[in-house]
Amino acid sequence: MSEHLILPKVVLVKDAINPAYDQYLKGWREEAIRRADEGDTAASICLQATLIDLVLYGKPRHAWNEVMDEYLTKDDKPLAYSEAFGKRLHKFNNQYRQTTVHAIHTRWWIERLNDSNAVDHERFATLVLNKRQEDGLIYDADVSETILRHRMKAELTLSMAMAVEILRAAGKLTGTLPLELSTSITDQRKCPALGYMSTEFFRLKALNILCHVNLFPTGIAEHVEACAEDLDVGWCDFSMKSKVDAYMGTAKRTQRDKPIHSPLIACYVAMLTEQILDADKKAKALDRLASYTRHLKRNPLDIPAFQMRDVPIRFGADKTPIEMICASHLITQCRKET
Amino acid sequence: MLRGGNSGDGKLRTMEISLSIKEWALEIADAPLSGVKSILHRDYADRYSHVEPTGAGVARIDFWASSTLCRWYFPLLMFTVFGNIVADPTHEFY
Repeated sequence: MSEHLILPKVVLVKDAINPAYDQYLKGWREEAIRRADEGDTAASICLQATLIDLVLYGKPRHAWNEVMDEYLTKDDKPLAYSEAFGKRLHKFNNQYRQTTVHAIHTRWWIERLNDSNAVDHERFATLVLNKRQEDGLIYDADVSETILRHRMKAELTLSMAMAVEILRAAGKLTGTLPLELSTSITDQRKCPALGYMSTEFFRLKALNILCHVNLFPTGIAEHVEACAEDLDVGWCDFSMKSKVDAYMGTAKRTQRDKPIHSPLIACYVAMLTEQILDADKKAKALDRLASYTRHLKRNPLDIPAFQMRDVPIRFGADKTPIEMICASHLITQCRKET
Repeated sequence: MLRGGNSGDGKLRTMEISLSIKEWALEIADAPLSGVKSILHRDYADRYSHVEPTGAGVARIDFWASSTLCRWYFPLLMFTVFGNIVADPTHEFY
């Protein structure tokens, strides 16, 4: 039975996918294989394609580990993008050569999936420990020099969660290290609680692995409620009211942006509700979750994309393999309860 | 002004995000043409280079072109237009 850190409680087994997504996922997988045959691939593509293999066929059906060996390795380090993938952006040049925490974790996860006994956990642990910064956090400062205040907080907490999962497997979470990492990821000066559901879920996941869930910041119930505002169903990753221009210091430029609901974010909220102490607020969140899963069951393709202001053109992706896997999980849960 | 260049200062390094916004940028360029692909989409889509997160909350498409031709074109224009009234355009315009 396989699970992945970014898909909480989603069991990746054969036929775990709703039939409404079957065709899309098979098409996505075929395209990923076709491009990978030409050397055009990325760690995120290998990961999503492997997830699809698991929910469609119950096991990896394509040798993504060999694809990663051939195109996503440089000096024995995992790469996020292949050289050909780097050419998808004009003049991206050698910037495709990135050994990110995500790329390290993806390689580790896929190797473990193929043969858990053959994985050199020590090697992966060394790679992530080399990413530890002076501020105590673990992130890709070598990829971009963006200062801590301007770094996406979801990057900080996701990198930490992925890193500590590898460190746990390597038996490195000993002595004072778990507490040091836990206090760093909950330090409000380094990683403030801004109410992003993804950020808070990854923080919770990291603390869970580090056995210091008691350090999780208070007030998640209010953030969960704020992310549901102006939506008929589900939750947005963040509250639109909290979205202000970082430099202008005003919401004027963002006031016409619209929130969107997402199956992935609903899965994160499901985990975060466990941290809600107020019984009424917790019940309200769980009711909304049940209502959202019923909505998805009736409308499985209602997975929207962001829009920029009043322009009706999709701003970024809407339906993705990860969203569809999460939606299938929620619909299955809904079926079990009814 | 954010910087680009080979070092990539200011560029978003996460390629997946830049690529998923590429479609938006090309469709925006097509939008006023009702069903016809714009020259930008047709001939220059492969020149799409990156996204710069500015924090302004308003997306925009920036065009950049080499200024090499301008260095020849504008002096030529100045000589052609003002050649009869200015004795030495290379100095008297400055």
